[in-house]
Amino acid sequence: MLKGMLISIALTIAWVMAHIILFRLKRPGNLCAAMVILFVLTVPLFIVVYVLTPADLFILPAALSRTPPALGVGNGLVVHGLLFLTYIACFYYLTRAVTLGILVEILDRGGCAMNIEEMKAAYNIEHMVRYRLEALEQAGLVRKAGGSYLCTPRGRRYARISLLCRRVFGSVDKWGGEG
Amino acid sequence: MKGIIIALLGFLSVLLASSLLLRARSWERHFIALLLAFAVGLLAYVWIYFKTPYDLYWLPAGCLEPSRIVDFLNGVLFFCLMFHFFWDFVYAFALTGFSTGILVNVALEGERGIALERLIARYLDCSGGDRIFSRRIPNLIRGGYLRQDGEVIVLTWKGRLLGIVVLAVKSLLNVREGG
Repeated sequence: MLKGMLISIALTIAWVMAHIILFRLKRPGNLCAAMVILFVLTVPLFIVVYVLTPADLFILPAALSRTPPALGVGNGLVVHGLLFLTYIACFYYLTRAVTLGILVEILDRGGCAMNIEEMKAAYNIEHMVRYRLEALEQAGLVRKAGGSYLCTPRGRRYARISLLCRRVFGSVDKWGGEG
Repeated sequence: MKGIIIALLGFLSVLLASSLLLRARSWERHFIALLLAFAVGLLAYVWIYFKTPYDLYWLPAGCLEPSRIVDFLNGVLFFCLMFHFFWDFVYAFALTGFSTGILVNVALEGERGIALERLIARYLDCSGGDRIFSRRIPNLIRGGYLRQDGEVIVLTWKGRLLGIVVLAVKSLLNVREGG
């Protein structure tokens, strides 16, 4: 199992570095799609590396190198998938969260303080809703028809997941969200 | 394989315990309920792991990791990654995510859709102020990330540290918008 885990960790690090380089050289329009495509490439690579390398990966002691190959590959792929989900969750939380954005906004102004009116101007609700709607439209989750916004079938599926979570874990009000 | 199976059962019990804890009473800090569920789930994992036979009465030899400690730790890793993803997904995406909130608001309007002005109006509180400020700023002040000096919002050392980390990550990833 350790062999699969180590290969998965190494490939995850390589994947993170690859998309950081890509984002810095030429930022793709759809960040999530770019990260998913790069990740999908690592899956066959994982299997190739697993099959082509010795059971001890040149470093593991013999006692930790006797995992049946099918179990090693299967377990490694599960860990690989979970590392991907963990990274994606952190990525979106760090880059999109409004709450963290407020802290960055204050810091980015050069000082550690900000007037409430300045902050309200920077975090204008109309601008924020517009910006997010544009992003949702770009991601194919909402569409504009006439003067109104509608959910696409994919958007409705995402919304249903959120509504299900709200039913299971409590209302948004309870959690401090906006709606 | 034993570790993964028990970790999966432990994770399902975390889902159930989180839902029950969050619905049973009102929590001022929701993460305490989640951490409590995590601790209970992890203890249950350790207890079940050491109280059951290595093959769980039915696992074939090809599904058993020869090193028991590796199998145990693999299960712990699996459990922790599942829990982290669950926390991030439920909390940051499904329940408090701003974009998700917009998506749900649009989805609830069905085929009629919703005009931008009506959508923005939903993010205004009854006094005409916006709900981002009436919820998130007090939350950040309560959490010790900000403090208010009259008309000025000031970053505390904790808020500054978190802001620096987020800013560094966003700069590294070349993702400066959002929030």
